[in-house]
Amino acid sequence: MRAAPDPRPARRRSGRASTVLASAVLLALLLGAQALRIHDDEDRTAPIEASGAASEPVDARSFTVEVVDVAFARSVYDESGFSFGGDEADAGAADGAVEANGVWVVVTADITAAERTLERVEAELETGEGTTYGSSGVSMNALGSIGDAFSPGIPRRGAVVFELPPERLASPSVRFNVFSGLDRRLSGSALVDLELSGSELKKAVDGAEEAVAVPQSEIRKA
Amino acid sequence: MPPLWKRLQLPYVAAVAVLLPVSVAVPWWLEERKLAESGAVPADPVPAQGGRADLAGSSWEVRGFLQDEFGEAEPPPPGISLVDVLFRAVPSDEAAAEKLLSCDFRAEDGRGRVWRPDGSFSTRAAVTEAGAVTPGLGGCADPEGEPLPPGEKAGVIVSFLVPEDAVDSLVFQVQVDTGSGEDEEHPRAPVAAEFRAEKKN
Amino acid sequence: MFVRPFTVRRRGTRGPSSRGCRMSPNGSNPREAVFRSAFNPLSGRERARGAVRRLLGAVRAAPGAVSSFGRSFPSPPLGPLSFPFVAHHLPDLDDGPDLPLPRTVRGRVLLAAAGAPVIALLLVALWLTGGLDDAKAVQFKTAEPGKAVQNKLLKATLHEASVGADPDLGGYRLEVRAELESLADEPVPASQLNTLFKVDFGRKDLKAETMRVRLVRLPDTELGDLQPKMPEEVVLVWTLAEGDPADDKIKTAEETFGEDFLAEPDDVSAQLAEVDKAEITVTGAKFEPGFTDPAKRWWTDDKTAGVYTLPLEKG
Repeated sequence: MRAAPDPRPARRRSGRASTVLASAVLLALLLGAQALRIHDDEDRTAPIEASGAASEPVDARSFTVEVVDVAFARSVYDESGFSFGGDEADAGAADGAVEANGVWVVVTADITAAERTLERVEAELETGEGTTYGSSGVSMNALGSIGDAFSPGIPRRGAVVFELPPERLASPSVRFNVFSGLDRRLSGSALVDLELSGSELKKAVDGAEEAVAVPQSEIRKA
Repeated sequence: MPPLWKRLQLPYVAAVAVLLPVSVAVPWWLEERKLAESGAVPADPVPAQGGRADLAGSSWEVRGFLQDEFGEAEPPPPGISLVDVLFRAVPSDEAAAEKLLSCDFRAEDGRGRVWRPDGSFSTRAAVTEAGAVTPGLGGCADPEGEPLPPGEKAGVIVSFLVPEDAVDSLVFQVQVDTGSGEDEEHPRAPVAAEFRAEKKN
Repeated sequence: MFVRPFTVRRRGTRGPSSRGCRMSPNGSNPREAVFRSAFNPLSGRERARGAVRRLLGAVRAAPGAVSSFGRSFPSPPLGPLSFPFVAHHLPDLDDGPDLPLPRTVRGRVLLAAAGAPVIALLLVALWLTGGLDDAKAVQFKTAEPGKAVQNKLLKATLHEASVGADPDLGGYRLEVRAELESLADEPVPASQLNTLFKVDFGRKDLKAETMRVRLVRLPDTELGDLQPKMPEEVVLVWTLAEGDPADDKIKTAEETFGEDFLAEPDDVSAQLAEVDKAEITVTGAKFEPGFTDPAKRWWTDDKTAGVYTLPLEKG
């Protein structure tokens, strides 16, 4: 037996309209949230990157980095440190200099940890035309594997060294990933644009010095 | 028409309101406890009363603080201070002295930044002459790396290099393991005490 | 007897026979009998007998018969009362294209029974001949020493090979002077180059173990990462050991880290005295995630890119 017709059809229709609207809004939010998800497992825990330019400190939350010098050279050598007693540092074995397979790029930067002590630095040079170069293991003084620690609030200046064919350089940037221990996941990373390109870059590369010393890292004024 | 509370499914809502926080909070609390026991996270420090604290069978007392006493060592660049904390530790027995080998120190400032001890100033003449223990990789041990003699007072000097602006708000934490950490039955279960700086300059 | 006409059913209720039925001895409601007797000339028992007859007739019917069911079944009286019989038919095997398969159940059973051993034999033959893996490239790509061989990762040019005693580790090693240029866009750890080169001496008792890469311009340094698009002169170094190169079985933990690890390196001088050339295969490369590790790295794809046959300098 059919019931009596609904006495309030208008209310039911507006109720349906609000349901449709609410569903549409929720659906849009869902799609937006889904688009923000990172699907690749590896990318999800990759270092979190901040970018900036060489003329200013770049804040990567767990550390800040400021590039103070970019040098091009045909060969590099390790500057030896002070001996006991604080005598004159000798200029290092310039005859132990290593010739580049291309050109050496020596980037000096001040790295200051923010809240926790960090120990390891991994650096990469992005040429700006699609290739990435890792830092060279040739120099013992360069920032790299086990070295001195970066304490919060205390800037430490060190160099990272790259070797590459000069024709690959277009508009280089250096990525610094500074972390503690062995785990790089979700660590801080800063991509610093060296602000060198075109004729300025070419002039710098052509004027590459014969030999550049790579100093040991040292703490700087806070 | 059933009553309002029944219509709104209030009993079920109440059940969810109680059970949901519990089901989230309990595993979190258990995991936190497990991590604390395993030593993966620093122990929650207990504030020292009157400059004294007891940790895992040893009594610790802060004897003094020094700032920028470089002696003959090369001073750091401007803006960076060297802070020395002098402790007196007395292990009550051999087991406590063994546990002191796991001693660890942190300095924390008001902003939440954390520093670890800096060992490069341990060769200052004043330190070596005082015969103090400067904890390194072997923890708080005698010069041969053996546990400290039980019942005897041992002077411990811990040095931190910190930015000048952090010195005023520094607190120092001492952490010692209460267990060996060799397996799950004997977790490290570290305990820690916190000492506030009263600067003597 | 009073026969109720079939009335319109009220919504939400079932038919009259579902309410408090009493079952009669032959399993049906006495009231149903009224309807049955009106619409179905055969009784329950007779209908069952008919069904069995149909089944036997289907099995016995000759292959190729169009509709075996229709044949042996007593043709029902036509008209609206015949529909209950159609509902009890077994499915008609007649729809679909005309395949040369047996129409009867028995025929199909016989076909399956005959075909199964044949299929089993074919599978065994397939397994014996290597299964469905990619066929190995039969065509050998010979490369002259000094000519480049290229795969997706790098361009390699092998020049010369020499074998001799290893002053650092004891034992013997094979050294190949080569040039490598990475075609990738990112640095590649030298450890990932290891699987791309395979060494074969043509003897079962001499094999090359893990490859290390040394830089010519820095004689004491092993290559860490191969940087992109930068040709490097290198020396590929393999430690030589006894054993069958086809013996790929994975070493157990005890074997790898047990006494073998610190044992003296093998003395293969006897075998070396007898060989005078080595075949070095450069394989193709692919960039993929690992089995358990989602990070992508370079692997060999087991296809040959080029094969160098290099004479061995002794000493």
